[in-house]
Amino acid sequence: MSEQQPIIELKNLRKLFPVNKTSLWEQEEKFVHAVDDVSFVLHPGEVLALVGESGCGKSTLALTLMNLETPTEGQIFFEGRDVTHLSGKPLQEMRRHIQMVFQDPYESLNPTMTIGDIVAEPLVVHRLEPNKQARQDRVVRALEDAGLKPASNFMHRYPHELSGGQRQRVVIAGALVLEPKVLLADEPVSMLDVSIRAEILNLLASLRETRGISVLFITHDLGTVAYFADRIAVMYLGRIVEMGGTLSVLERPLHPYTKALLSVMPVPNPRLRRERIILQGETPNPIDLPSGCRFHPRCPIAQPHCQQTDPAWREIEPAHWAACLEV
Amino acid sequence: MRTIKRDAPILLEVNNLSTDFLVAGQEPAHALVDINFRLREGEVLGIVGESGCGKTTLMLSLMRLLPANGRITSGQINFMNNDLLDLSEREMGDVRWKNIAMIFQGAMNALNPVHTVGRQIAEAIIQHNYITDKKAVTDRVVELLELVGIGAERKDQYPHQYSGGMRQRAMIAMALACNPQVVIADEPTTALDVMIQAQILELLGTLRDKLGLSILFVTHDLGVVAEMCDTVLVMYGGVTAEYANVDTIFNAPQHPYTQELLRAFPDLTKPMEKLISIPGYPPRLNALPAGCRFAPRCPHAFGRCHVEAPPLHGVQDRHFASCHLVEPESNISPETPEFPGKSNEL
Repeated sequence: MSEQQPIIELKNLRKLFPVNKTSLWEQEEKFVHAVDDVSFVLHPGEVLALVGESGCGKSTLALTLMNLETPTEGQIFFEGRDVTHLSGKPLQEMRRHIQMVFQDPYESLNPTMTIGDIVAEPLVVHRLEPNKQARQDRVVRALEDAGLKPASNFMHRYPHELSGGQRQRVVIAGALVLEPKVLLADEPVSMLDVSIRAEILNLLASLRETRGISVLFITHDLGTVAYFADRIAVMYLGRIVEMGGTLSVLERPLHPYTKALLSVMPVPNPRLRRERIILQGETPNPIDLPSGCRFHPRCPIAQPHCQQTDPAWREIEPAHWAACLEV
Repeated sequence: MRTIKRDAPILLEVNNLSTDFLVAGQEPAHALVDINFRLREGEVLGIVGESGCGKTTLMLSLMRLLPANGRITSGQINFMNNDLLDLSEREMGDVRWKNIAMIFQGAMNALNPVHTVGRQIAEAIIQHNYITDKKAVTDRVVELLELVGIGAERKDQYPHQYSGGMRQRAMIAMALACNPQVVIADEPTTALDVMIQAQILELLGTLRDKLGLSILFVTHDLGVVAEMCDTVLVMYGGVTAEYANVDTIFNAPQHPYTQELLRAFPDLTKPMEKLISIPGYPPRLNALPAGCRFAPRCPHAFGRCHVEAPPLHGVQDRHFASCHLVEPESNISPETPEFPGKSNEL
């Protein structure tokens, strides 16, 4: 896959949010380091899972990718073109190819519009398919690709008539109707019941096969990514600490943070109750980052030098990277 | 693995508990039908099922906190040889904090934002233990906060100064204010990050060992059940689908609903296996199917399932399932071989 041109490439992306001064005499300007020096590539047709706890910057990263937040530093390439500072028409054109699926299907659908209108709206916004019949056909195709079959049963209904799983399918259909090349799915199943989660995950997995869409799947749940992600990137405090193929990350995690996350994932088998590495405390404040390695205050294997040296991003095994001094 | 004794004293015994919801102009909706279980000292019983399967109704029935249109129509809730259904409202009010306490879902919203956390815990102590000595109350608040891993200096802070995990800890401290024997935890970790969830589960486990608590753990997360529980009650559409010890539920489930639920749950130890979702949705209480409530979604349903509701069969000693396919004697699996969790029985 590496010879192919990546669909999205991030280079040293950084997004800082300035913090209001709490005192007039405060000298130093402070920032929340939401995304700090993140680089990765997303290949066509690939599913990359971005995993991390709340506050690690994964959602900010997605917003920055969509150009909904302006990066402080770094570059974003879409199909080899620098799109970091696009605006106006070219920006809208690019956004057509990158669509988002949000977490909460109960709040991301307009309750006063029919399903058909909701899914058609992106076409109207982007001034595609002025022909009504052609527009309708695309809506039907998107709904059916999202698993709402037959589409005619759903077109004229309102969101409140649908279940949670069906609503999330409508959200996905609304993204698909523009025939995007990339889907950014931000916790798409965390609000859904277990029995429905499987169905939405399988749907996202199948989109890669039927439409060749790349998916950036943002989640805090390592359990759900194992099923269809090609690669996993683990984020901690604004930085990616480990990235590699799904199986190698799950079976041979390198970074102590990944190891801890994996060890606390509940496994549905009581015979496999294991020793869990429970990190104490909570993620530190992203304003005053710890010195050296930002994970060292909670790291079970931290050494004195971890307090001074910020670990470099190294390829430890082929295609399996980590930022840790102790691996 | 920790084991609970097979003959530990029974604290709570629920027999044939049924609850209806009354709706004007309609037949009453049978939200719970003939629920039975026993909770022993130090036992963690997991109550599992999709949304709308009656888990929360069961908890509210046990606490007698049903909304105005809810009625317990039959059954007994024996707590230390008293039927809670016979108690007056006043006596029940005492049982609620001193014997059975509840940790509610959504720690984010269950605390009062305009009072300090310490004051809210103190209120529970004062209300139910009739203590008026200020010093004694403060000491108890500090003791409770330290028990759940919150420093005493934070008692004067407000809920918004706490993180999500800390608020959940404060809720647990509050539930323990009057030394209950049973704690009902309704989805206590659902909105939390995995690492915080692990911290809370560890805390509940420590409290169970230290205080000898029995816990009713309501959740839809099967992974958490496998980690935490000794026994499991799987509910579907207001009835018991299966009731057994945790190992049986996960390794030899007999009810098709339990089997399907397990197949739909992501398992990190088996990546790349395809997830199978359960088609359809749990039944609405006002439109229950005739016969078995799971029949419309069941892959093994046959003619009889659609007309006759299966009773709860005893599959083996302390293993029950309500399915026509597991009629007694017909489908008893041989004893599973000896393994560490084997002594962990109902």
